[in-house]
Formats: sequence, C-alpha cells, structure tokens
Amino acid sequence: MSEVTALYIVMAVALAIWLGLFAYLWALDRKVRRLEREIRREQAGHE
Amino acid sequence: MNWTRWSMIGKVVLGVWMAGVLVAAFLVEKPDLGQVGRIYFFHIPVAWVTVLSFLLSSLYGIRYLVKRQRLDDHRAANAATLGIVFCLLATVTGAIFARVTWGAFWNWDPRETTIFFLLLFYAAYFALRAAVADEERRATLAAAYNILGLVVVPLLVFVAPRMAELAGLHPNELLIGGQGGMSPPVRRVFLAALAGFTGVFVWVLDLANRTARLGEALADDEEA
Amino acid sequence: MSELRAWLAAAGAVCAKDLRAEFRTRYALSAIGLFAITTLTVISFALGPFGLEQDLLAALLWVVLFFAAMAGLARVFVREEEAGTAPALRLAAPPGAVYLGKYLFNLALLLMLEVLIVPLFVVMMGLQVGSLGLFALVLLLGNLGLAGATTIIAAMVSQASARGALFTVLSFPLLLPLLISAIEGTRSTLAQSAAAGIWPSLQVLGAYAVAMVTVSLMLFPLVWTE
Repeated sequence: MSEVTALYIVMAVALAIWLGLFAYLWALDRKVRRLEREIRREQAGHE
Repeated sequence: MNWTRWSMIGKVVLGVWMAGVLVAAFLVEKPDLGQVGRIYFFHIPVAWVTVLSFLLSSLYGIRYLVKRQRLDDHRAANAATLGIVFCLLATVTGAIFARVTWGAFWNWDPRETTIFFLLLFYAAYFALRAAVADEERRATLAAAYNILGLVVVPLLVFVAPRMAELAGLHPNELLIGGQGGMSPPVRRVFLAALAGFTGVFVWVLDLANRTARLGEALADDEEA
Repeated sequence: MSELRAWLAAAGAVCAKDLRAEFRTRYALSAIGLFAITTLTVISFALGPFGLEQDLLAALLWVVLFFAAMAGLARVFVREEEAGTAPALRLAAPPGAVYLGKYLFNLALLLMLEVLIVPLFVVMMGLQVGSLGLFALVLLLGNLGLAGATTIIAAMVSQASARGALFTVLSFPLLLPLLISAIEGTRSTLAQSAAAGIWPSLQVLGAYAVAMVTVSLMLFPLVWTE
C-alpha cells in the first residue's frame, strides 16, 4: 500500500468519525433546545 | 435573528470547518518531522483543550466559592470531565508520537510530565467528588482542591525541565519547544485545527452546562 | 499586635494538645515509624547486595518518607472526627490557628520520624552525604512543603469516606513538584555531586512551602467550617 493510499484511508476514517460525532452532537443539541423551549414556556405560563 | 439561530449556524460552520481540517491534515504537504508529524494537528490542540478545561474548571470552582450557586459546581465538574477525556487523548497521542519518533512511549520530558500531572490531578478530583456525599461539601472541597492544583502548576512547570535533563533527552525540547519548523501551509492547518478543537470543546461543554441548567430548573419546579 | 499574639497562642495550644495526646499514646509516631523502618528494612534486604547508585538512594529516601507521610499524616484531622472532638475544636479556636497548630504538629511528626529514619537510612543503605548542612536544609524545606500540602488535604479528607486511600490519591499529584525537587536537591548534597546545582531545587522547595501554607491558610476556613 502506498503512503498516499494510507493517508487517504486514515483521512476517510477520521472524517467518518467526525461526521458521526457531529450528527450525535447535533441531535443532542436539538433535544436540549426543545427542553429549553418547553421550560421557558412553562415558566412564562406561571407568570 | 436570535442567539439560538446564530449558534445553530455557528455549529454547522464548525462541523464543516472540522471536516475541512481533517481533510487538510492528511492532504497538506508532508511536515518536516515526516508523516508522523501529522499527529501534531491533533495532539497539540487536544493538549491545549485539556489545559483550557483545567483553567475553566478552576474558575467555575472559584465562582462557586464566591456565589454559592450549585450550577457553577456542575459547570466545574463538566469542564473537568471534558478535561480528563481530552487529557487521555493527549497522553495517548503523545505517547504514540514519542514511540514512533524517539523509540519509547514515555520519556518524562517537560510536556509529558505536565500532562501526566494533569491526568493524576483529574483522577484525584473525581475520586474526591465521589467520596463526599453532601452536595455543598462536595462542591466546596472540589473547588478547594482545584485551587490547590492551580497553585501547584507553576511550580511544576518550573520543575519539569529538570526531569528531562535527568532523563538526558535534549532533542525533545527542541521539537516540543515550539511550533518552530512549520512551513506556512502546515502552520495554517495547525492553527485551524487549534481553533476547531477549541470550538468542539466549547460546544460540548455548553451542551453539558445547558443540560445541568435544565436539571436545576426541573429541581426548582419540583420544589415550587 | 495582641490579636496576632492571641492567634499564635491558639495555634500553639492546638499543637501542644496534639503533641501531648501523641506522647500519651504514641499512635501516629509508632504507625509512621514502624512503617518507615519496615520499608527501609525491606529495601535494604532486597537491594542491599546490588550496590545501588547514590542517585538512586537519594530517590529511595524520599520514597520512604513519602509513604510514611501517607501512612501517618492524615490522622491529625481524622482523629478529631473519630473522637467527636471536631465541633469542640471549631468553637475553641479560629480556623487559621487550628490549621497552623495542626501544621506544626505534622511538621514535628515528620522531623521526629526523620531523626530516626535518616541516620538509619544512611547506615543501612550506605548513603554518602557530602554537605551535611545542605542535606539537612533540603530535608527541612521538603518537610515544610510536605506538611503544608498534607495538612490541608487531611482536613479535606477527614469528613469523606475511604479516607486512607483518598488521602494518598489527593496528595500525590500536589506533591509531585515537591518530591522531584527534594530528590534533586538531595542528590546535589551527596558526596559525589557538585553542591552548586542545589540552588534551583532550594528555590522550588522554598516557593512550594510558602505557596502551600499560604493557600492552605486561605482555603482552610472554607474546608473546616460546616
């Protein structure tokens, strides 16, 4: 395997890991955003 | 446009940025140290983030001691959690680099010594938190220990080079000493990686802190 | 000025009380003394025939001292918690004075230990000290720092669970610079070394002791009060 091919492979793996991680973080962020909206509405409802 | 919209856009930009960094890290010209030098695009930003976490954790701890808001203690613990994760990453990537470049996984050169200290400190910090049942005491003691750690760091930094001398490894200091020896394109990728990792850290910490705040809000609602 | 004197008197009283209690039972002293002697004997027995380098002996000395400290220095606050006398102590003296008293007690404990162990170590392991005065100075400064770090941590640990192990886990990271400098400093005082190299170690040891005691005095009220 040439050096260049090895580099491409490692890069692809790293990229895949990052994209997976990013998707997960985004999903978490969305959930947290929803909860925050709900809590803000409830607190506004109390007043 | 409100803050939430802006931060969402920022996070997407971060996602693309990091993807770009990853591509560039492997496609940019070969660094002076050889292909293994590409580790620096990951090792140094990650080590930087763990130091940043340490400082942030200390600051949140101090803020807790001053204001006594439970949320600050959560923030300190969150920062420390991220800190230990990144510290492990830094230690492992550093050891891999050391093995490839100098033949041994561990050499006790100044950077390795300080990262090792940080690892020990974080482990001790969490051991302390686990051992105290009462919330307020836990927060106070954790913040106090964090401050003690902060005080010790300058002394350690002063002492660490002596350990390297004892180990007889001067070449390390030249290489690790600075970013000297980076050609402009390599330096650009390096700086971009630095910014990117910092951004990821800020995002994850923010997520954890927002979650903590939600937890507190729910607890308050229950009490009310 | 008289306030300071009263404060110092309180610290002295705390220290004196602990020393009196200690001499009555000799619990802590026996614990760390026996620990150190055992460790020393094992080391001497196991490594004696190998004719160890002086540098290595300098490091071993501080390893023995460190572990002895871990075995015995946490007691200073744990004893108060176990005996139930801690609340009384909180009422009897201001926090700073309590800390200083306990610190001096730990310092005394260490010094008494070393009076026993160091000559034993020199004889059993064949440590060749070049400059006796500097050697003693390194020990003294090292003790000031060791007592400084361990006393505040002992206070933190006294109300937690798994005290013994936690004490060691918390102490070691903070003691790292101290141990490194103490070993370095001791090496510089050996017969084979140039004493000139000792200055940076003395600086760090001194700075460490000052920094630790100062920060401890500031943090102690937070740690001590309920």
